[in-house]
Amino acid sequence: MNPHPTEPFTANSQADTPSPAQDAQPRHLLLIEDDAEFRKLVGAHLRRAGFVVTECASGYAFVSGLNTFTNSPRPVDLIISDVRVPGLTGLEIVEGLRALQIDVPVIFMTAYGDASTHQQAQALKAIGTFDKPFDIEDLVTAVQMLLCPAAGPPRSARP
Amino acid sequence: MRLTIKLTLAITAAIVVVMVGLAGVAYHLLDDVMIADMVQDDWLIGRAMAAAEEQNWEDATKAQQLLAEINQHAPNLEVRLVNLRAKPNDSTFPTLALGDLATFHDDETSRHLAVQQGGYLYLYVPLHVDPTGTTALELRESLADRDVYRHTTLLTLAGTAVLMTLLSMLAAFGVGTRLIGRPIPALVNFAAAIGAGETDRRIVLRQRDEIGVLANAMNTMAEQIANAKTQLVAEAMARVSMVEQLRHADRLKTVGTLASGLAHEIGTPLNVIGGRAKWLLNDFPDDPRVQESARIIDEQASRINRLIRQVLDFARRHPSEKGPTEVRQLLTQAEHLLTSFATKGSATLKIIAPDAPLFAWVNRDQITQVLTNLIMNAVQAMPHGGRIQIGARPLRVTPPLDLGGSIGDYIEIAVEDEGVGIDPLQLQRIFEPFFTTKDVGLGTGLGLSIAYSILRENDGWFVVTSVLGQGSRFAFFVPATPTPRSSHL
Repeated sequence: MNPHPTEPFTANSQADTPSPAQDAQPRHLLLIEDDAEFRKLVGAHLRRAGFVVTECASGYAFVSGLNTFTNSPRPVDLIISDVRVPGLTGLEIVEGLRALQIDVPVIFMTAYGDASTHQQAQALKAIGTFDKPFDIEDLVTAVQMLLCPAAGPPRSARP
Repeated sequence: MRLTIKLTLAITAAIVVVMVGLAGVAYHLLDDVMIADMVQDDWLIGRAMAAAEEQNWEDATKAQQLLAEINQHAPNLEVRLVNLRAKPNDSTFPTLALGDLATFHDDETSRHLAVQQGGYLYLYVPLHVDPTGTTALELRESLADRDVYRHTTLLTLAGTAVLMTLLSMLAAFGVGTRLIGRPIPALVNFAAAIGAGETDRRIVLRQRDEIGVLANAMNTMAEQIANAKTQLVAEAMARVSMVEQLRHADRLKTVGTLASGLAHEIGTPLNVIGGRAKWLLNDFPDDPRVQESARIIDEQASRINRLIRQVLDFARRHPSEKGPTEVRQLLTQAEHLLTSFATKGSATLKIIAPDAPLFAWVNRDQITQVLTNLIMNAVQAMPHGGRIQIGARPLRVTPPLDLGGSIGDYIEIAVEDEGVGIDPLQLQRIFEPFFTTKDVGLGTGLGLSIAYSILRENDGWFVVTSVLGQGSRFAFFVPATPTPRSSHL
């Protein structure tokens, strides 16, 4: 819960180049996941769906970039976080944000989460919790419904 | 037996001593009496003779004749006249030297002057025929008769003594054998039998003496040993069963911890595999080879996922909410749920339950899960089909020790099949996690482990019986509860 505003945002957590946005204001997502393969996969799905995704590998990385994150000209619309990440856990990160009065919506991912994890997530006003392994398309659909409810059918790169 | 012999010998020795003593005393008494008799007889004869001689003293021939006559009539007795003053060479010289003549003059005293010598008894009777008083009658009687009599008496006494000794020996031996010789070896054998573990044996002795008391005490001891043994065995069994239960619970816990730890690690890579497979399916819709491989990868990843979820279901058990549950309803529900599954395996389901409602204090969903699991197992145990009986009945039984062990009201729910049965060796392991006899892929080996845990949570337990080739009966007991008044169920 102790952010270090003086430290710079680490390079590896910087956002990839977003895929060409279909409208003027692509939504900005922050994806916190320590498993590189899974992070890449989820990130790719989300980008293909037209979102701007910033990837973050650990709780440390997130905390050190917090200052930049809060003052970013491009606000984060949604955080998608793994529960168990090195450093601060996903739950602790969100707890910190809530303490800072940042009410950004959150979706958690957890490997075979049990009831207590789900309860904790609910207590932090998370939108939902996905139990790994889950269908990534389900996550994309959930994000689309949450962020673009008026956009009609989800914008998807799928054929 | 040695004790008997020793006792017999001791008693015999004592009797011999007494008999010899008695015989000796009797012998001497008899001898004394006989001598006294002879002396009395001789003295009386002597006195009579003396009187006759005194009367006829003047007539020497008559006196001589009297002597000859008496000598002739009494062959053992020899009477002659003696003069106490006679010279040793005289015919009237007395055979014995007589002492004080003053005492001799008195008749009563002379009677005690009887003397035995040289096989004869001598007796002198004074004749009052001359003033000096030196004439006397000498009576000499042979002791030969008395010796014969003495000998006979001795023999009779000895014979009696020997006979008495033998008789008493026999009696002592008989009584000894009866009171000691027989009961002691019996007691020894009895003690040896108890020592060898035959604690249900008892000894019967009719004696009321110390040995009888000892036998009774030994019987009591045997009974106490038997009781202690029974108690010990029961305690040992209970302990073994307790340890078995604890070990089982421990195994379940270990498996649970291990499984959930592993599952958390597997979840993410599994998601990557499945996700990548879907990605391929989407990206190469026209390449059949990619389509097939990606589909198989996705399917297999899903299968691993299902398996892990089952393991986690097993590992993550939450305290269950219990309430009064109508068991017959549960049975009917399970029957409806599984009829089509059973029909596919050409099995038929039949419920056997009483008409009255049966209420158990359990978690409804959990017991349904157990029942479903058992019925599915029963169907799978009958590859060629058959009948499955699902029964419920109230019973008053004693639960296993780790559930309290005191008798109570329970409801038995049993699933009975006509299937292949379970090998006795496997029967011991069916509740072990991951133990399965089904083909790979058909079962995780967790179904019965979960059922077991569920029953424990519901204060119930399993009783399984199985005969190879004939079928199995999976029965479980859950606490019964009175029919609830409110009908919120």
